[in-house]
Amino acid sequence: MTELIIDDLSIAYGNKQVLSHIALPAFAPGTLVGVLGPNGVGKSSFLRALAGLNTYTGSAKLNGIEINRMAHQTRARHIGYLPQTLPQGTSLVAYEAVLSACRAVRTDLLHNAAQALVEATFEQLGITSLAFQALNQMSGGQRQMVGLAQVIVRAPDIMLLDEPTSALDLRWQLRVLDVVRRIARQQQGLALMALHDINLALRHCDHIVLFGNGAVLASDTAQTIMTPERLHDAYQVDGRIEYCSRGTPFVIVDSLSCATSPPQEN
Amino acid sequence: MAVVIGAALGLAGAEMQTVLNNPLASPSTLGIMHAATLGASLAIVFNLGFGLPENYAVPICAFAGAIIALGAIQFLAKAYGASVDTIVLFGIALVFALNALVSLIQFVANSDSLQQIVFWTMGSLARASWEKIIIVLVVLLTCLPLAMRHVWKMTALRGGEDYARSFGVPVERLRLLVLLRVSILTAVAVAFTGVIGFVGLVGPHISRLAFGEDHRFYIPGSVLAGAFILSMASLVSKHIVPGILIPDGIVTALIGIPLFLALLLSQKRRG
Repeated sequence: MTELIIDDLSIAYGNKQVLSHIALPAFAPGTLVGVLGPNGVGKSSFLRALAGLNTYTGSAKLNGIEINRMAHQTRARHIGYLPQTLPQGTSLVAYEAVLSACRAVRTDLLHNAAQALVEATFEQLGITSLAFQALNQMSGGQRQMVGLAQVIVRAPDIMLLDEPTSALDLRWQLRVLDVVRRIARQQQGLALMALHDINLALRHCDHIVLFGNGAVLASDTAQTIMTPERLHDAYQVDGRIEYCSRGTPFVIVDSLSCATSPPQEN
Repeated sequence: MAVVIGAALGLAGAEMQTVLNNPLASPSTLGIMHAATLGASLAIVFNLGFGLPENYAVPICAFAGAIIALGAIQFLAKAYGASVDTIVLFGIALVFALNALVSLIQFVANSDSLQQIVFWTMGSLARASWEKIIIVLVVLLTCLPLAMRHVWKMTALRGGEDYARSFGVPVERLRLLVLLRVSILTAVAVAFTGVIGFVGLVGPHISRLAFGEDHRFYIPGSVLAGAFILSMASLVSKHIVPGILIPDGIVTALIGIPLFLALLLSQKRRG
């Protein structure tokens, strides 16, 4: 059972405040949480803070322990983070990259057990054919799958995935989100994913956190969160929310709102 | 001597290329070798003996120079953040400063001292003795198991710093630790032989071509490649012109670099 409690969390880079006073309810175990918002709003900073890679003030507790006070090794054991950048294109083969991720974190495992875990992960993601291909000979999407395998092989309590489908085609997007959902459910863990594709998030996530103007604009179920007003407030676009025959909401954007500011940088 | 010095430089180069994420990195990148040259030059020109046996005065001053440079890099890296860019920039600045100081010493040196300095910078195994071999061997046998303890972390680092951090690898601490080890290896090796720059750059490349980047194989492979290159260079230097011992630093560069380029190009053609 995984419990993440975020209270009054703020993130700043020097004098620049990125996110302020973020408070979120504890999510039920097995929940897929979509983190949405425009460019530069702080989605990646939020996930990096929860991964212990950015400093923060306030509180973010995983199973009662403050994340930024965890030892490196303990944090890596419980939290799996997929960065937005793809794994570096080196001559390392995928199998070695995933095995090193497993062995660097799971020091308790015997080598054979680690190898079995790596093989099971490749199979689970459907990328066994990539196992002995070098990272510098892979496409962006394939490297993203290897990055994801590096997270999944460690069986973390919480997965923090920064745009995990950005380099993937439709088929692989569905595959990845299905695998993430299955693992979160099986392990009674959590998955928080920063996504740009609102409709993908509404379809696959249970809960959505919508960021805007350095704060949480809304936090609600995927079924009910999106309204034309929130769409306007977060993205400065005018749009509608429609429902497909299966009852899944989807967003149709009609036009830009009158005053549109350029994308921000963190 | 060629085997242990080559192995030490191969190991130092392999670790350096990983932690600095740069295939052009070698033990001379951060100015450690240049600092050793400055130490040796000072000892030669000002006849610094400190009461030491004659054979050891120059190596000990070279070692002291390298360790002072290492201390400066570690201090600055810690004070200003130990990112790769910061460390490499400090290293480059140090190389320029040390080169200028060595030139200044050469400028004021008399002709005998100048000749000695030039000979030292060419790198030679001719000054080998069993005592020196044992000293380098002890340092190598201390550093190699420590390097092998970090093979998973180092392999993880090849995927990118952010990924390695998320696997719980304390990247900055690991980098400083590895640089400390590399600097000691380099300082000990060059103190006894003078500057032999090529081995630490190319040994790891050969290992990478042969074994890939899984550090379980890449590290021992670099050690073997370094030992092999310098041994071959030492053999050639003794036999290429009968009766004349050509400095090994020259031979490694003149013969090794074309061979290395041929290897790289053939690899590219196959890839």
